[in-house]
Amino acid sequence: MSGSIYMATSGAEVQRLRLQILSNNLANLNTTGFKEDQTMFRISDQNMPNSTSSDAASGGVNTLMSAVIPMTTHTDFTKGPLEQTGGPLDLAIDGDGFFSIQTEQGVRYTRNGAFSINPDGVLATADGDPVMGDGGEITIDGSDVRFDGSGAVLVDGAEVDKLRIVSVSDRTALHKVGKTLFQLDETQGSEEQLAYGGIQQGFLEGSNVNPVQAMTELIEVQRGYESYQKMIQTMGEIDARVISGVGTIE
Amino acid sequence: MIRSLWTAASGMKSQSLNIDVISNNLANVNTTGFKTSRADFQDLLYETLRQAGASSSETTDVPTGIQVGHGSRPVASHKIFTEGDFQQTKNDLDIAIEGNGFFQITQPTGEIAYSRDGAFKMDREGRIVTSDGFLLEPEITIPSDSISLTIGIDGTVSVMQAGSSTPTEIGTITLARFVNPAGLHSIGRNLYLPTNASGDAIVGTAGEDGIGSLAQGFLEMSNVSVVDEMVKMITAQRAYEINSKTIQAADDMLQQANNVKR
Repeated sequence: MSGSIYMATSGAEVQRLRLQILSNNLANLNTTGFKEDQTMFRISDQNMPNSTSSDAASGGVNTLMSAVIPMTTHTDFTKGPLEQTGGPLDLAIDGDGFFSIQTEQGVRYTRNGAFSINPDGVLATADGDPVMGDGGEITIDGSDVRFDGSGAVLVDGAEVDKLRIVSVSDRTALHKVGKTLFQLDETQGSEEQLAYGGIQQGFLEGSNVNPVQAMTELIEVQRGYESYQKMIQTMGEIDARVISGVGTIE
Repeated sequence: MIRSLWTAASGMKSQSLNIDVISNNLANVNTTGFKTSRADFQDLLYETLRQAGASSSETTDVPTGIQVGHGSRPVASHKIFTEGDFQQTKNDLDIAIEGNGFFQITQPTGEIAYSRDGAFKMDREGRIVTSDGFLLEPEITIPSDSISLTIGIDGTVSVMQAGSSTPTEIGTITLARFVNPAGLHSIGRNLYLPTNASGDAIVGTAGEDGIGSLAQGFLEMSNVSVVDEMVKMITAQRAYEINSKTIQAADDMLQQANNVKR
């Protein structure tokens, strides 16, 4: 029987996965600091079993398609639009860099600057995880909080700390862990201190998902899936004809 | 396939909460002392199908993996305590707070609640009360024979009594402030209760220690910006719509998968 029916199946599987990634991007259309995921297709791995090779190790038996999906995702770190909110603890980074957040699992990075003050009087994310300054947690005790362009935190006019804005050597080393946080894989990249972050107070960085592009891709995914379905049907018909037709004497 | 349906549904649920928050803001566009809220969202957990940085051979690593997200969720509806515009009313018992701080209001249960709404009234015993008749704390009674009432910027309340040429001080309005006012719990009637997140009330004199001063004859209007809310409403509605399209696409694809076997 034709092995290409499995090729079409894996093609449909890729489209299904693309839809999942697209739907996550679209569900986060209004999530502050969200960075969209993009799918990349690649030629199958070199070490992926080839359907026509018959090597001695597998006893000469052909191995059909591997389970490896010929696709990867990567996060698009382009800037989202800045939205003015006027909130004194709403911060956006104008330029490169990430806020450092001290979570229970370790330091995480984010572009989401919708902060508040937690019960300990410390600048924190919506989940209560402290935002890191150069001197650790930033305690805010006062009525007037200002952040200047360089990230210095001024409470009632006196500088108490400076926001720790960092960049990373290789952004592909950042993995999403939910809550608009990124985790740095230290085997792949390292933290770099950023000389100038450019903090905008009273602004938030919106999601960088482009709805027009996402909708176009959605159509592409849906139609792509449909054509794979047609391919599977056609191949099924060919096989049916071979089984019922070949060998009959008319 | 099924996962995309739930992912898109989480997006729709987030946006519907967003609309709930926006509609409450708009409904309170003329409410004295009202503070606007904003819904904050976060992305959900990610499933890693293929780990970036894993070895693809002895000498090479996979440069990027496959991470699939599961949608979004609302994480906070956040009160924004910027000041509203001041409206001059010339009414003696209308008081606005210029800067941080809250009036302390004694609820009928005896519990103290906090408010930015300074549209006070007088009850039949001459006590200063809110529109609901809740007492202002500390309790101040205005003598029945007073001709005029003056509230100083530091909260000193004095009256001019009939037959007297000098004003008499009858009490002082103290204000409370919070480390994190965004963490206060709204209970309606323009009142807030402290929570663990807001911290305890720090009571002090108006105009001192980061507490704002008082302005008699003014009211603080709602800080809702209609334009901002309308723009937020458009984005929320469109985001809701776009997520419904994702559900349709996922549904169509499921149908096609069903049609493979005829």
